[in-house]
Amino acid sequence: MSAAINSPTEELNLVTAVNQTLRQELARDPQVRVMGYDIGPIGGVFRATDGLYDDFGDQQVIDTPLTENGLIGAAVGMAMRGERPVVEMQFLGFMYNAWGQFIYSLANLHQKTGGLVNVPITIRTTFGGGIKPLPFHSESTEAYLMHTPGIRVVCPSTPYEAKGLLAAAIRCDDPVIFMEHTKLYRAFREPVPTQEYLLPLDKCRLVQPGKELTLITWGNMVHVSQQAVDDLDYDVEIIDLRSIAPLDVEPLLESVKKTGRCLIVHEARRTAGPGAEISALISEYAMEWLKAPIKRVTAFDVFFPDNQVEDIYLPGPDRVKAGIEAVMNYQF
Amino acid sequence: MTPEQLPKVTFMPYAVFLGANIPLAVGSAMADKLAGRDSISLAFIGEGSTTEGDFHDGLSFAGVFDSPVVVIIQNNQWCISMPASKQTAAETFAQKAIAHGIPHHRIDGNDVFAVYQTVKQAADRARKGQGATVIEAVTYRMLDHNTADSAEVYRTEDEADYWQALDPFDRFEKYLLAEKIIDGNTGKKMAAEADVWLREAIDRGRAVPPTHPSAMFESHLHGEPSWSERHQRAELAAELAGQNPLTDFTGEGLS
Repeated sequence: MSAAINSPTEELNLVTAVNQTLRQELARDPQVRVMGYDIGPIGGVFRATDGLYDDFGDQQVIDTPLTENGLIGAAVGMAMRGERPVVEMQFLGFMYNAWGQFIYSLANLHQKTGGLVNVPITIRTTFGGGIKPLPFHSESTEAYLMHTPGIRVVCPSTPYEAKGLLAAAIRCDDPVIFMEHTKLYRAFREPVPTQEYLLPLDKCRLVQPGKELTLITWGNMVHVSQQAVDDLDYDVEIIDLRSIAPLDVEPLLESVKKTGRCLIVHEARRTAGPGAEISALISEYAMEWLKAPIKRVTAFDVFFPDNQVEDIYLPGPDRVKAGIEAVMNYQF
Repeated sequence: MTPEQLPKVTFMPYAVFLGANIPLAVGSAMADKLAGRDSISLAFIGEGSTTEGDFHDGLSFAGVFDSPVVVIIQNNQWCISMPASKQTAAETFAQKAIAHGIPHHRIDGNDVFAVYQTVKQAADRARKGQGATVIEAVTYRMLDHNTADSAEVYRTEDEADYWQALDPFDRFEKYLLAEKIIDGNTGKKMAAEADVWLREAIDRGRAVPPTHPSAMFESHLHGEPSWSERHQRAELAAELAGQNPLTDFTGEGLS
């Protein structure tokens, strides 16, 4: 199924694209069970499941008790018996309570059973900063996830991406953590095909080609980076990672071998963050092509700070521009 | 007993942390209920697992969704070296179910009939759509927890002797003899038969070919293997072939 090129389109924001995709998948497969707390009549704290309870009922849209660990464990138990749960983890920062079932069951069961048991679960979770909520509502701790084998971690950066990737995640037989950036939910609209389409879960996306520097990013930082690149006069290749795990390594290496420079932009903390792994891969396998050291533009190694300073903590266009300038002006 | 005569049971590989079984069993039971199947789920844990959050996470769901699940706590009174009294200040482990609105029973786990009857009732209840049950079966861990354990360090021989006299096997045999359902030789005959099965099982186990090292890469993700998986498989193969696996500096494979 290609990208539904001939389909009529509709201008959607990201949260509506998610909502429509859930609707599409619930209607397509009765074994899709959307589960979580506050997802029923209220339609989710961000209204991502708006209207689904009314249209599909409490057998397919299941409001659950307030235990993240119980939620993932029960979803795995259901998946073992042929269901296809789509769990809403209200915030990525709430998932720490579910670490046991996340590791022991969700990620490990397929391998533990020698492939006999599949765990076709999608965990939709919000992540990222910029909307000034309470503590642990702005986490960008995907590094914890990507260190875990047996799962996919996917992050859409636009409404079009969200629809194609979420449908693919739900239909995939692997556990997929689907990271929806809260700031992107209502940031902008773009044309989204009304017909169903799937996007690959394991391929990065070339946002714009360039010859002088490879900028690797994902989520809201795709847009922050684009703004920075647009303000400068360098020929920058922007790659939206899309799949945080497993990494689509080859296009990253190819791009850096072409440009000779690499900047990694993420809002996760720096130390042992996703950028550390990407930087290590590039220095391990593309060192000879580098014209400058690899640079990481990230948040700082502190807990997500007070609302008043969160915009300073998060990388903005200026910090990204500084990174581009620094790498472009570096001389060995 | 032939395989056809065995009850229709699906086993899941147990979670090493036994409490993690509870949410899985509850999810399995929820799926049965949603699909309208009459199968039920049983989860077995020790008394120590009732201290884990998983126990309460699972029971919260089981209570709210009236899931057809039976949770059986084998209270053998010891979690390696930790006595039951270090797990809870509550009078029983079964009563933890009260907080979840789930019926509970505490029974003599060394009484075959008590165990059968209580589990049967709980299973029938689950099948009738009446929801979950928690059963605490009180028993005793007669042996060390494992070969690294030394039970004599933390418990008395008197305690073990007391429970030895309550061995369910002996009690059941005594009953069957008294009722003349078996004769004096039946026990020995059955033990000899079981010994043969056991030896056959050991032989089958020993005949399983050794795991190929590359099997560690199997069954992680579906679809095309990732670059990292392909690369690491190649590294391991090179290492096993006595070559240097770390010679790739271009990402294009091992030279």
